[in-house]
Amino acid sequence: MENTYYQKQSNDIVTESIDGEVVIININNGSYYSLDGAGAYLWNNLIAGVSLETVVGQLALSFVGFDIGTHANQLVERLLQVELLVRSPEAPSDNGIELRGELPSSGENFALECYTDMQELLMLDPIHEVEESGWPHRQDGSN
Amino acid sequence: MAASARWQQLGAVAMPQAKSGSEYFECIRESLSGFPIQERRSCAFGSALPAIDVAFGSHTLANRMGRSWQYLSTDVAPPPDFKFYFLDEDTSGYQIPTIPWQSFGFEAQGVLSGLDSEHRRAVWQTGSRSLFLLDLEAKWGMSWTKDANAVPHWESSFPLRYPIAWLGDRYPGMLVHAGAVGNQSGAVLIVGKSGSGKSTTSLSALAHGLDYLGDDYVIVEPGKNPKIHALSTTAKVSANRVEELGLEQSDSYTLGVSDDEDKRVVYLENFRDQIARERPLRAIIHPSISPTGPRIEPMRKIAMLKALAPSTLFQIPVNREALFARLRDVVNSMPCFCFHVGPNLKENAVYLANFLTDLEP
Repeated sequence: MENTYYQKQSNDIVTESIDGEVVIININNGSYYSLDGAGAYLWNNLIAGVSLETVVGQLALSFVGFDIGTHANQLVERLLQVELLVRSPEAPSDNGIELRGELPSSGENFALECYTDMQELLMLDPIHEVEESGWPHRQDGSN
Repeated sequence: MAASARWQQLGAVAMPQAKSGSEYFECIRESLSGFPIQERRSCAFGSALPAIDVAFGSHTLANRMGRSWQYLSTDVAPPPDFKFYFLDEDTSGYQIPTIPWQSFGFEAQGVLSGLDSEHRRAVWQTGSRSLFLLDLEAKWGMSWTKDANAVPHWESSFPLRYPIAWLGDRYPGMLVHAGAVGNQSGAVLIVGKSGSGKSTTSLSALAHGLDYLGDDYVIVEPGKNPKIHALSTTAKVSANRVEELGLEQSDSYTLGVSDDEDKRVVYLENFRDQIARERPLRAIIHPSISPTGPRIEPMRKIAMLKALAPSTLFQIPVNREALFARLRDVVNSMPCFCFHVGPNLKENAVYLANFLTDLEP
């Protein structure tokens, strides 16, 4: 079976982990996300260049009885949809990339939490009109 | 006339001599040399950031843009290398060349992308109609507006936040969107989005004897012995809570934000003895209003990072990727707690003071 690889959608996607949990921020539009458990393990390994099949295989081996493949694929679809991930056109040059991070405590929790409350700070319409003095102001006269 | 055509016209007329961001900065810098300065003050932040020699073009500007941090200013001899100027046209007579917008760009949050570079920062703040410039290598910056008297109080409550945030791209200190209170044992960083209770927690602690470092922005100096540095001695509070928080004797002004009519900026000069310049950072807390409070319980660090990072990263345009990583390191290195704030402000403050004492190493 062909392996599939993913990478962060762009350099605007920044991510940090603590204790196996993840916060992901799109610094271009202000959206941010969190993952923990199996979802965080999947994210951290995919962006490190490990194939989806390798990560799913490891989780399925560790958590027999959970439908890891379905949940993992659904999360990847969601990560693609919100433009945090894109599929890599080719395998990473280093095919020896190993799984990283501690396995989660269970094979559950692939939930991606999404937050958009910071977007308004970035979505302020930047320029509307330039007044006679040469400085911009908003057309509606508000501050 | 279409805006783009107006920008082109204005740009061509206004600033024909500046063909690049570096030329514009150089033009401004040359014009500052020898410009009459009416008042000077210095501010210093330990090892967090370079000390800054702040120059005001008029006494009006010094009162308007220097009042919020006057008790944090300090004598630095000789004057610091890093210069920052507050100038305007109406009270200090400084006429700044307007910017050729069509070629220098204008992006979200007022970033003037054509003026920006690895070591230069430039923002037009539409709300306060102010231009902020900083050159990290040449070690100077400025804030310019048309009329100092027209600057809204939300701007004058933290007039140094842009240069401080930008200096953090190169120095250890980080401007964070958080409050902080403490005592001789140290201080807690109070983290949360706007409206989460940062100000109420900070000001109730102040009202009941704790030291105050800020309720909205403070500077965190990371390291083996992390510290919090104060940046302003103002607070933002709802008008209907001024009396409850013991601030009725303090000068306060309407914030000046259209969708925030109820908020006031309070100058805490009556609490001068409780203003702390810096304190060791002992813990990070996230306030949460609870009818059964006060109580404090551990909080997951990733949840604290989620409360601190987005709110800090999107306030001011900085190197967000680098700051995110540094915030993560600070959160990971500190104990993190949820502070369930109860209905009795004094009980909350006493509880927090005892908590701080228990944290002292």
